[in-house]
Amino acid sequence: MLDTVLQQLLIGLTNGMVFALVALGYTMVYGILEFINFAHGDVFMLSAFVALTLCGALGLNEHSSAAALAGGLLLCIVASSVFGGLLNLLIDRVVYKPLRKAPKLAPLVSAIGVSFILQNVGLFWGGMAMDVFGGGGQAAAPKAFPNLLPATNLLGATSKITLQPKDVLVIGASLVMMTALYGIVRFTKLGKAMRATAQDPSAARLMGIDVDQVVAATFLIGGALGGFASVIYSLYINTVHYQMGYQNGLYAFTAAVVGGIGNIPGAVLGGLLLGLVRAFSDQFIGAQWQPAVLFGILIVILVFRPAGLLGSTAREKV
Amino acid sequence: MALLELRDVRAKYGAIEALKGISLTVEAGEIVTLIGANGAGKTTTLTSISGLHKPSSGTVSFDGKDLTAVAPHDIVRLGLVHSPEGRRVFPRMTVAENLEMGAYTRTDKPGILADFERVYELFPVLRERKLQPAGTLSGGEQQMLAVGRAMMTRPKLLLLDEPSLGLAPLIVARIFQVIQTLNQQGVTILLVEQNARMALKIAHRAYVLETGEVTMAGAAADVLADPRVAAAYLGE
Ligand SMILES: Nc1ncnc2c1ncn2[C@@H]1O[C@H](COP(=O)(O)OP(=O)(O)OP(=O)(O)O)[C@@H](O)[C@H]1O
Ligand SMILES: [Mg+2]
Repeated sequence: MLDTVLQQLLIGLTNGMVFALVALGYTMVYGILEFINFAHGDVFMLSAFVALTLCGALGLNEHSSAAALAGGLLLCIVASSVFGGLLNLLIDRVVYKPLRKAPKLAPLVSAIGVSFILQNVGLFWGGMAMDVFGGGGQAAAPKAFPNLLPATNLLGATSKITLQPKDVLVIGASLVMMTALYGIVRFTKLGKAMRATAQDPSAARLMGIDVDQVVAATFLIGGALGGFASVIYSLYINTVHYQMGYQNGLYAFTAAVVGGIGNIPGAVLGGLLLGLVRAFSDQFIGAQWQPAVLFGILIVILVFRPAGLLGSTAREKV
Repeated sequence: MALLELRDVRAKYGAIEALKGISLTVEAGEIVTLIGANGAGKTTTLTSISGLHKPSSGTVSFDGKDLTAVAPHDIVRLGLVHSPEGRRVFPRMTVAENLEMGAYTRTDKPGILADFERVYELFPVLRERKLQPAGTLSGGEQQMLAVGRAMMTRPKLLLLDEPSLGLAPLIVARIFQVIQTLNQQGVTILLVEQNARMALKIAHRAYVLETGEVTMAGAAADVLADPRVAAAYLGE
């Protein structure tokens, strides 16, 4: 029993970390623009496609040397993060920025539109004639993501609990990214400008802060976190699919709302909570009930704390 | 040449014309006050200067430079700062961080540190509350912080929008005292006030604004003595 609990705790934590990383992208943008970037999940998805394409181009698989795998993994992480950041930035420039002063529904609907467009791009990309994409025959089929890390149990072959190198990577790397983000937002000049802009954009302008630049930096950082998350997620789950951004994005968005939208620690808390509830519900209630249990619990939380766990109910905004 | 000059400035919100051709000047070293009833266009005049709400026509020049095409965040760098109506401190940032945001455009570390000291000396309560989130300060303390934050930009010209709004008389007196001190230290001030009597007492010159137009201008003492002003704005 204890083994099962510990195992689910581990699964919940690893999944939760990925939700948290993606949730950060939603919450950071919302914090500044009060706008939900619904395309964020699909930026995550396309970033995973970048990683898979790289693996294919480099011919990486379980049989590659350890050094090649490590190098390949690092390259995937860097490339997908950069890609996610730049794609998110580009979307903002081209689609959202011209709509900054438009009624709120306009950018929202556009974001949903971008989301569908990116899924279409993913579908097209999935048809690429490359071995990792299944040779190009079935564009819509899930693609296997190569195991870049050894699938050994770090706790020993006989242990009832499985802890693989990829679990360590997901948790460790996520913690590093979250700490880095915290450090940036809390201590750097850019981070302070981001907080000031989120709290009062007009006052921020009057202090000499270039709000457009801050918004761009936010999309860049949020997208990069999504890109980074896509690699560790693909590695963890061993599959990529053109609709992977849709479900994970929705979960991560929910996590951000439950944590308190716009609140950075809230997104992390919400993500972890979602991951854990999901793991335990799958184990003890049954995977077929997952959405009902998960969203049921989240609705209950929101009924009691409408602004989310760490969100402030009283709008202190002047 | 005046430090600040507005010439025939018009500003619109949709179809509503809030400023119907305002002209005014502020000379270096002055305290100039802008008084008028609610909705007269005082705040709009200030936002037209600081660039938050660009005029639909007319010119705003500061230090000989036309501001109409300059972004608000670049205007600060020229030495013009606007402390907005309603204080607008960053509520979830500490007092010290708020002051730091005032120094956002600056890179002269020693100068910034000296200005922190200057603000803390002027408002000792801010030093005590240094690490407290600004949203938890009292209204008066928030106003002091707003003025302190504006000072951190090292302005040549400070635009103040109703710094006394909603404050107890003692705090109001303190704020007005600080405005005079700053002015003596060389900061030029354009002050918007509902508290016309106090504003006219510390100002050198005054403009009276009525529904988007300047209806009276002159030495503050003359405006204070004008029977029409007394009737309309001084509650006499
Ligand atoms: N954002 C806005 N949208 C539409 N109309 C506005 C806006 N801001 C101001 N106005 C209108 O413009 C006119 C001038 O407003 P402004 O805020 O400049 O007046 P004010 O003199 O500062 O008033 P108060 O003493 O109440 O602060 C008013 O009629 C007001 O209703
Ligand atoms: Mg006003």
